[in-house]
Amino acid sequence: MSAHEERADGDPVDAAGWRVALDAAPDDAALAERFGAWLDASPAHERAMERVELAIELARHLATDPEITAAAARPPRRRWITLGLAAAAAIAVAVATAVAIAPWAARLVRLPIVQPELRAAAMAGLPAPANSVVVLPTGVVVDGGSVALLPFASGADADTLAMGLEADVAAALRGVPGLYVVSGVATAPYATALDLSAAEVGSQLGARGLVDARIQRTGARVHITAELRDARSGTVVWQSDLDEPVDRLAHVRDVIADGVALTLLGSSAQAATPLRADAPAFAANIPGPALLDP
Amino acid sequence: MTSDSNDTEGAARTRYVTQVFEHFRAPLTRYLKSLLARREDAEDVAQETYLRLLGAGGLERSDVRVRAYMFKVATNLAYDRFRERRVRKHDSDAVLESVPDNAPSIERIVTMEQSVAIVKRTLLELAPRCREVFLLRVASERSYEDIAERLGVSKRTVEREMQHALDLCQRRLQEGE
Repeated sequence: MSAHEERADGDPVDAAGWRVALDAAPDDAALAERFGAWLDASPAHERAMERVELAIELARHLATDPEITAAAARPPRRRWITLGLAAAAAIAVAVATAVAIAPWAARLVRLPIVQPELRAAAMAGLPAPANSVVVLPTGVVVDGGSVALLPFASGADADTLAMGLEADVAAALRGVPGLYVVSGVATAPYATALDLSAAEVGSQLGARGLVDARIQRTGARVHITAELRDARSGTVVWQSDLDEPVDRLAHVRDVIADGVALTLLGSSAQAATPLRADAPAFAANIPGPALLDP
Repeated sequence: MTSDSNDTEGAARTRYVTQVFEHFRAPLTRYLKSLLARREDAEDVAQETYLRLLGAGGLERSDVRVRAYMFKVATNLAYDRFRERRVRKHDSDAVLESVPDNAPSIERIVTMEQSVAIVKRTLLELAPRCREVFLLRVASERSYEDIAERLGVSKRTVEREMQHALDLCQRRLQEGE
């Protein structure tokens, strides 16, 4: 039977079709009712739907499988390259050049990060911090300013908060010159990749920094722990532990985005020396030649 | 809202979830048995699924949604057992001997292992765009609209790709039964 057939009344004819139809119209109560009738009409329908659901869940887990990730098309930003040091140095020069000629005006309009020093420096027309490339223990070369937001974990009643906060932090970081953010679809499978080392995750995602966060809600308050690990060493280079009212999530976003940005940009420009929270921002990290970490 | 009304709402929700769970309990247990092979394991996971359902916040009063959530949770609990067992399988014999008696044996999880292999083969068999649509939807739970925008295609195309991927997986799993 074709996967795209519909009955004369427009309803799907098979389990895959029903699943897609329900996904596409999640609030259609009449459709849900007809689906219930279809499900009850035959044990074969029920079994087919179970196989569809099994496929979905297994595919979700398999998204981190090396063969699957290798087969998946990678967008250019996430493409990582294993090269010798000479080639890596060439990349470093290219990155630094690209940063130097990047149109600042375009970057400024999407600079939501709140750290006053960052804004002030950017608005003063200072160039972006120098980028470096970093060689991970796996031999993979990644951009020194690259960071992956791994899926924010949450308690049962804080899923939406976690997803929203993750998206907000990603948006804030994307506005920071010199940072390259990997999140969303690229990192979603890593919610369950507990048996991978930081270097392996960093290599697969093409990221030097890995951000983990956990959110727990208790009534009107949320407790958030967040940390940034260096994929080269696996060590935690920045962390934060916050307890805030739910309506202060914007503040939480800012704390995480600032901490990650300052630490990564500092370590990127200064060969992995983490910046302290009170460290000056762009002005102190103004570009020198691109660095290739040892 | 008073604490009494909260209690009443909580009790009503528990009754509703229990009612839906009981309605689908038999097919759920049969499904889990097909993955875990042993009835006791299937019933154990079904019970754990019920507890997760009770603890899940924001579950809508929709039989279809609750059923879908039930199977999702149950599949993942079964997969966790499978994965845990695989990790232990790669450990030393001494560690293997320390596995509790109630853990699923290698034989008991073979159906899950076969299913994983079938879905993996099917994923690799899919055309790149179809695979990307499928993984964007199931792994990162992007909406069809988001996926369409990201890939520069129509929402209908995304739905067709998704349907094709699901149907192929479903048929491959059926052939493997």
